[in-house]
Amino acid sequence: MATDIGRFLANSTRREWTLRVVQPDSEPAADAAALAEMDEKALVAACLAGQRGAFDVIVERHRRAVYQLCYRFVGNHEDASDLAQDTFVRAYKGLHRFRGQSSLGTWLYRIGVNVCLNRVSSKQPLTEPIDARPHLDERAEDPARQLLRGERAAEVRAAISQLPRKQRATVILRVYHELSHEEIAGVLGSSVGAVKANFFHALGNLKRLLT
Amino acid sequence: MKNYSDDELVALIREVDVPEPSPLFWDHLSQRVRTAVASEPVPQAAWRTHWVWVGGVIATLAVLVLAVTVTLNRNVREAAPAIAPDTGSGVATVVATELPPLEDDVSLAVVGELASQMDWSETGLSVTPDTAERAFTQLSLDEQRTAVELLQQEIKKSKSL
Repeated sequence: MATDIGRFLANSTRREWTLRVVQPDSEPAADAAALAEMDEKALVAACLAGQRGAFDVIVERHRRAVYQLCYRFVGNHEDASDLAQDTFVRAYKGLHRFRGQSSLGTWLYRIGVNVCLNRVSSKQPLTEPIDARPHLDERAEDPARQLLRGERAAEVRAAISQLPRKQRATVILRVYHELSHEEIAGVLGSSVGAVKANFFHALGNLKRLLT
Repeated sequence: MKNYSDDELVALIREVDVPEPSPLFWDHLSQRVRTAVASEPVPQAAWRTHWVWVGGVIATLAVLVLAVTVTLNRNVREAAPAIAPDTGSGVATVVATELPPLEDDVSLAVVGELASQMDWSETGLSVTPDTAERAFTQLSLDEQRTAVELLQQEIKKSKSL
């Protein structure tokens, strides 16, 4: 937005001077507003056309889901935030390969799962830091029950972390992210039958680990 | 010790939440991604990459075809005889296609220039209607007799064919 704030007229020649002050952030703000209203395909197209702001919008829309996915795999905030960042950077590099056959979210899950599985396989099994345990709020719930719930949650996380890679990914995507078997098959690059079998075996293994 | 059913187990798993990070974390994550991505080149559309790739392949193929064509032409020129096989007329025919264009051949131009200035009657290479008779009269009698016999034999051979 520009504002004319001064005008000087010369005496005889009537030369007109106009001084314009342009607010530096006004046009990017307008662009950001336009980008925020775009759908996924338009955002990808804008990003491929060189508008880096479009990728900011993609990150903003999917950062929570990607972070939570990563957290489910590694069980701590530091690694999860690193993996989430890595996922988005890889997505940016490979954005030209996104065909739009699945949703952008599913495509990001696929990248995220690969990033997490690579990291998890190269690191020790997760150990939950004490800080990650839910804070006991005496006003909200009976402390004993809350403590019990926290311990059970830690047991479940530990059990999930002991599952084979594909079973773990299947459980996380199916239970926490509520993806269909077909979507999980797309994410993991396997058949729907294999996904169902993985889920079945994962539940069996978890029952064994939690009883 | 408890034996869970599938539904109970799924419900138990679902209860495990991801701790909510600080509200500032989300903007911080976006900023980290923005900084990391800033050093990356802008990704190109797939069709652009595709056509660049296809263009590269076509250009490579064109160069290969050109190279093969030139090599084959050179080999044919070296292997083929400069003179075509005798066609029976007894006249050797120059393979015109293997020769450079006449107007480009400097040595031929020089020969042509010299030939145009030459008096062919002095060279004895010109042929007139009485040339054979004059040559025959210069032979001795024995030579004339032999020549007659040879001519008659050749005439008989040509008649028998």
